[in-house]
Amino acid sequence: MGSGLGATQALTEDPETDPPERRPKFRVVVIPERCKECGLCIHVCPKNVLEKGAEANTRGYRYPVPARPDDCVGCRLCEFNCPDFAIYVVPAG
Amino acid sequence: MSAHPLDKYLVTKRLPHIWCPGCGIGVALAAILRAIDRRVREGVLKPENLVMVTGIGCAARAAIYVSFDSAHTIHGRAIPFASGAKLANPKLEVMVLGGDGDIAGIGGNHLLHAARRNMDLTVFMITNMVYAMTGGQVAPTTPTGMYTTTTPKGNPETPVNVIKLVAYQGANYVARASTTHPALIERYTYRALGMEGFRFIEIISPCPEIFGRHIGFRNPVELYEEIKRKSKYKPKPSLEESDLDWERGWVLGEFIERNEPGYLRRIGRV
Amino acid sequence: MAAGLNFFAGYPITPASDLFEYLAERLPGRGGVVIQFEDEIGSINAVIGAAWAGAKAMTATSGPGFSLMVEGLGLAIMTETPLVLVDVMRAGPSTGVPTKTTQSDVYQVRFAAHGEYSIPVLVPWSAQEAFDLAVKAFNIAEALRTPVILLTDAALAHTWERVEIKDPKEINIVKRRPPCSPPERFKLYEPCENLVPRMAYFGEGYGILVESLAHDEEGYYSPNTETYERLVRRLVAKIERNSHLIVDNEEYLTRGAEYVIYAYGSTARSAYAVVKELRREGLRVGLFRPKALWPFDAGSLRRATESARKVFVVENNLGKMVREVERVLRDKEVIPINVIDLEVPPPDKISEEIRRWL
Repeated sequence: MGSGLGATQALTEDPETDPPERRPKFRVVVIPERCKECGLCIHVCPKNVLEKGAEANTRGYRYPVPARPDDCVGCRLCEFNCPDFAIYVVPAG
Repeated sequence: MSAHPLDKYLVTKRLPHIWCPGCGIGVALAAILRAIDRRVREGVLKPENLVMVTGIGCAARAAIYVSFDSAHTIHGRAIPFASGAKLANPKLEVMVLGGDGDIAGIGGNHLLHAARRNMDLTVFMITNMVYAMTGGQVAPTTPTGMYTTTTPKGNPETPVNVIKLVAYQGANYVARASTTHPALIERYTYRALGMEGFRFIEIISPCPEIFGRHIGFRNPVELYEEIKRKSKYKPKPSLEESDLDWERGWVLGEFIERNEPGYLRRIGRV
Repeated sequence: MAAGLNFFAGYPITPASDLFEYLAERLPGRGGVVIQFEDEIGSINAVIGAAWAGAKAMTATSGPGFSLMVEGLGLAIMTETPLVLVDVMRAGPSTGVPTKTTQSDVYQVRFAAHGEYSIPVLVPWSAQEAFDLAVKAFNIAEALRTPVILLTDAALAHTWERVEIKDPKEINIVKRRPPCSPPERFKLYEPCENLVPRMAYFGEGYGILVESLAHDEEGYYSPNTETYERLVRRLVAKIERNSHLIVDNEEYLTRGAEYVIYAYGSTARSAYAVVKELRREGLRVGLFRPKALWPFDAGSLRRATESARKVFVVENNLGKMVREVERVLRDKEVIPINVIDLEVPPPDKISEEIRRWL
């Protein structure tokens, strides 16, 4: 719901009902051509999911990659703090 | 292949946009668009009634990237342009977006009178404390003593407190957020879009390439952390706490929330 | 109002305030909006914003206010916004004599904004013409998607005369022609015909971009020579090549005349009397009176002065339109008759000057 913080709903699921085996619940999607390597997404991620990638886009910027995608809890802080509409989070599957 | 959830509000073929790495404008725009999207999905707003009016400056370039109706006008004059549009077609939801120089500097007179009229506009002022587009000259919000290209020995002026200025004219909604707190931008925008009258949201924004670099910050993350550290959130702060002080920091929050009749209601055009 | 005006934003200035006050009394009752802005800059920008929201919009001012509106006028030109700007000239420079008349701003209205452009300027000489040309101004604005200047002066503004107002059904009003493509393909700055693009308003789902930067046909900033040149050439040609929709002249006894007087606006009232006076003395004098100063109608002027030896350009300024006449009539003797007068120059002041050259 849009109450409380009023912010866009985070996509976390209920820890009580999560199955015990570790499966990625969320997928972090990067749009490489939009990235400008500002580093903010990597910096704000509370679970250290992202790392600066080895590949560069056509403008020479090294875009982030989800190095630990299983750890993503779907808080979308990377998405909210990206200035370039270059990264977003969706439920996996 | 999924798309970024905000792509429907963007002219995606014009991306990547011109804003620098780490610039807060893109963060602010994204949060504003998310709030718009919520109101659209609720049925409160129709996308064809959205209008974004900007003046000139870095923030003003937002008009070029949004897919709904927009206007990239002249420096400081977005507010009267927007007022004319709203008066001519009250169904439009008219927003103004601009930098602190555009809105409170050259546009200061229009800001003051639009607030006084409680004109039915939502105005977003992106405060980066410098005229960035033109290379880093002093702005009305530049802290005292700070280096800029036109105050190389340090700014001798006191920065303007736009929160107080707008609040004292009788605006219906006055809030301050920061791009370091995007959830606040979205919340305040969402709230403003459900109101009438003059709604003003100041959004503090790191400008790493010009502001940051000129005063010694070496990368976007460094400046982001500094701005975040200086921004203190309080739900309903008082106007006495609204000063923008570089040393002491500043308060984010909703300073004013009123429900006075907007200008259109006053002239019987609602 | 007969033309469908429904939005006026202005700022008080002598001698244009009366117009504003009249509309403030009448227009809201007809469903229109009248608002006083904090200055002329706010006014012109509000008029432009209103036009883009679908209004037929106008403002009115005088020299000092026009000077403030110049940047806004440039915005209207670059974005191709239809609007009418009434400029009631008063004696300058600067504050000058606010309540008295002049014709000194005839170049300002054409050339004040920076950049490459052309702009229609209509110049009535009577209350009747003020009505008729105001309607025409709105029609030109819609037909060519451009701001139009209606240029009068303090003397004319305070003139009381009979005006015949046609039945609204008999007045020809040019309506907006809607976009010629659906929203996905429509380009706000791509001409459909006659170098004029169609106009979509805010709120119609076209996702338009009103853009002050030099742009391509979609409005996207294009700082390359090819696109820029195409744009500015079209902005100028749009007006100049459609001048037949703008220009109109009154020719009084010019056929076979040996002397032709060129005069416009309030001064032409006296020039008309001078023509009659000199004719009574047997001189073959005629009057060429443009009702539009810009674009300059060289063709008609040449034809009207075919038989003339001398052309007298009578103006209540120190010689402005005479420059255009000189430029265009190279083989004639063009004589500036500059009569500075804070009221309409009386006929004998003009004829006294002209006689020195007969």
